[in-house]
Amino acid sequence: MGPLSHAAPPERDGDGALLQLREVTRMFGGLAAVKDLDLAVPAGSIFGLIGPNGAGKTTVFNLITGANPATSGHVLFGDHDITTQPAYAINRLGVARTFQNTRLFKTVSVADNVRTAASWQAGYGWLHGVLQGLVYARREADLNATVMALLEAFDLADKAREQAQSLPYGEQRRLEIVRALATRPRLLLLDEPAAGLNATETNELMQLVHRIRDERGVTILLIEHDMRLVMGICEQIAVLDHGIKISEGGPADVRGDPQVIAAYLGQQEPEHAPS
Amino acid sequence: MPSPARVLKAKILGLLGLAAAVVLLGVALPRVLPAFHQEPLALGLIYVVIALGLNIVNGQAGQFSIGHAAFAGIGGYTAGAITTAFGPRLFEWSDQTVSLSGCGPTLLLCAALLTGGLTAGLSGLLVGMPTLRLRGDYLAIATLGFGEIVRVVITNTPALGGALGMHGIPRVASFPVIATAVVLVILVCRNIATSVPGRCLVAVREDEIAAESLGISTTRAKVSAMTLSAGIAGLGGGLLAHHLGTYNPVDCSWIKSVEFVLMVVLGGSGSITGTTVAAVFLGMLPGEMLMLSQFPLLTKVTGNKMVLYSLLLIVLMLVRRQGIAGRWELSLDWLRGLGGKLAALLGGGARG
Repeated sequence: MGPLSHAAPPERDGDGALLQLREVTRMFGGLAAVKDLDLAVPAGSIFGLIGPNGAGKTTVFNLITGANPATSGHVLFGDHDITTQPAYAINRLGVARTFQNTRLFKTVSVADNVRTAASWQAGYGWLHGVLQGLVYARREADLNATVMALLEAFDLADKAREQAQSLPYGEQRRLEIVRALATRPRLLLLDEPAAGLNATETNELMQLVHRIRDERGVTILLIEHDMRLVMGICEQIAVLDHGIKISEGGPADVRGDPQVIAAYLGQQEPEHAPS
Repeated sequence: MPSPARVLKAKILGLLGLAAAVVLLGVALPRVLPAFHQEPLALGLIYVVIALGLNIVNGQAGQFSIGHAAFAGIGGYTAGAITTAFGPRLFEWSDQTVSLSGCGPTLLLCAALLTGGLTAGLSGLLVGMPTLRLRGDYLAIATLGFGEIVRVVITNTPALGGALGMHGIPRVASFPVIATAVVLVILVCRNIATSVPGRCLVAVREDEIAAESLGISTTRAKVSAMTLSAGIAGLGGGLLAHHLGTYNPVDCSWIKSVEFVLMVVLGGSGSITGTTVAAVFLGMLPGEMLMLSQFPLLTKVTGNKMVLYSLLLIVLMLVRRQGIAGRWELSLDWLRGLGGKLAALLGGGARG
């Protein structure tokens, strides 16, 4: 993959931001699922994206990863304008994601799930795949080492040969994160990683997210409903409501913001205001 | 890191194994097999080639083509046209020639088969490119239509023999030729399944959105699979043409395509082992049923193979939906494991 050429991206502010969204809008018919959203995710941070159901959080993920491109505005990743790039190209630039409902390759083994994710970096294609000569042997050995190292690091090595769908739910979620990491991302998007996990598993997940950032230097952007997790690990949080950013800042700022409380709990209507 | 010497050694052993398989299948088996089973077996083996081609796109990549008889037909007609044009002139081939002798004739046959495969692959690419960008069953509809177009065009082209089919194709695809092709195609399919491109195809089958999010260009994977798949089917068609000496437009129709789909589904979608077994079985079935029809009581049953196919499918869907082999593959590791178990069983039995 050589560097991709682009029309000059809009001038940058917010230095050190790995991911920037500029006035991004996503329309579904007449409905603006996300409207004029500006977002800057600093490199090396753990960034939270929260908001009530239907606020447009997953839509933001889909437009960053190219699954559902933005209708207008710009998505910048590093020096690249990725607004209209296809999903696979965005991943190759260094953006990986997990899904709200896990999307593992269910009937494939745990190791092969990870191996498949690392495959575009394996550096060979149909020709060497069919010939299976020295190039194949070397690249596959490298690939296997990468896969096993990842599985070891995340405690899945003893399940390498099991079918992905046979894992307990918590491990399936972890496998999905490991699989995303196999693409060697600089930015990892986690869509409700704690959904369906119990308290212990959530704690483990928090440690895991920290580890990924600290040991691998991966910037993390996560959507989450579990406030304990969000407030516990996110350094910066943006709050969406009806596709509009209503608040941004550190956990304490966001928690105290009346607009955020209103979005989650509802607002007292003026006519019913106490006299 | 595997050393070159070790890789080379494994490759040489592998090649020897392949040569042994070709000799067994192409030379030894026809010697010991009673003559009346030979023709069905040859057909069954040729169908293995076409079904394995189909298995790449239907089984591994999880798309659905019902046009592979047409791709086989394109390959068969192309290869047949080449050998009928050059064979008699260069090597005094007639449609009754059964043996290949010498380098030149073998080269001509190989060139004809390859050209047939390439032409079929190219048509697979043409059908696949617009339709595989879309999700779902568009490929099925497109290939269905494509197959019928091929059949109608050939039927109305006098140069290709029209409705009567192409005749006088030199019958040079004998057992060794067929066996070589089968072993090579099995090898290619197995190698694809155990390397990056094959894993990408499985990822596409399992979850396209996830595959795309992991840096896999799903459109490219699907179109490549379709091209290769149609190409292998075309190679099979070429073999068929040079085995039977004729090719009929009816053999390009979707009914014939459904037979190949049946082989893949019956064997286990995605399983090379299962597809191979099912293709041999279903390929030999009509010929073998002909033998059975000498018994007066069985004539009614054996007269219509489609009834039997339908029954087979119904029973399969009730009893074993994943096909005979499911996703299982025969492998050296499995054989070793089986050997170990047998030894343990025999040892235990001797002690007990």
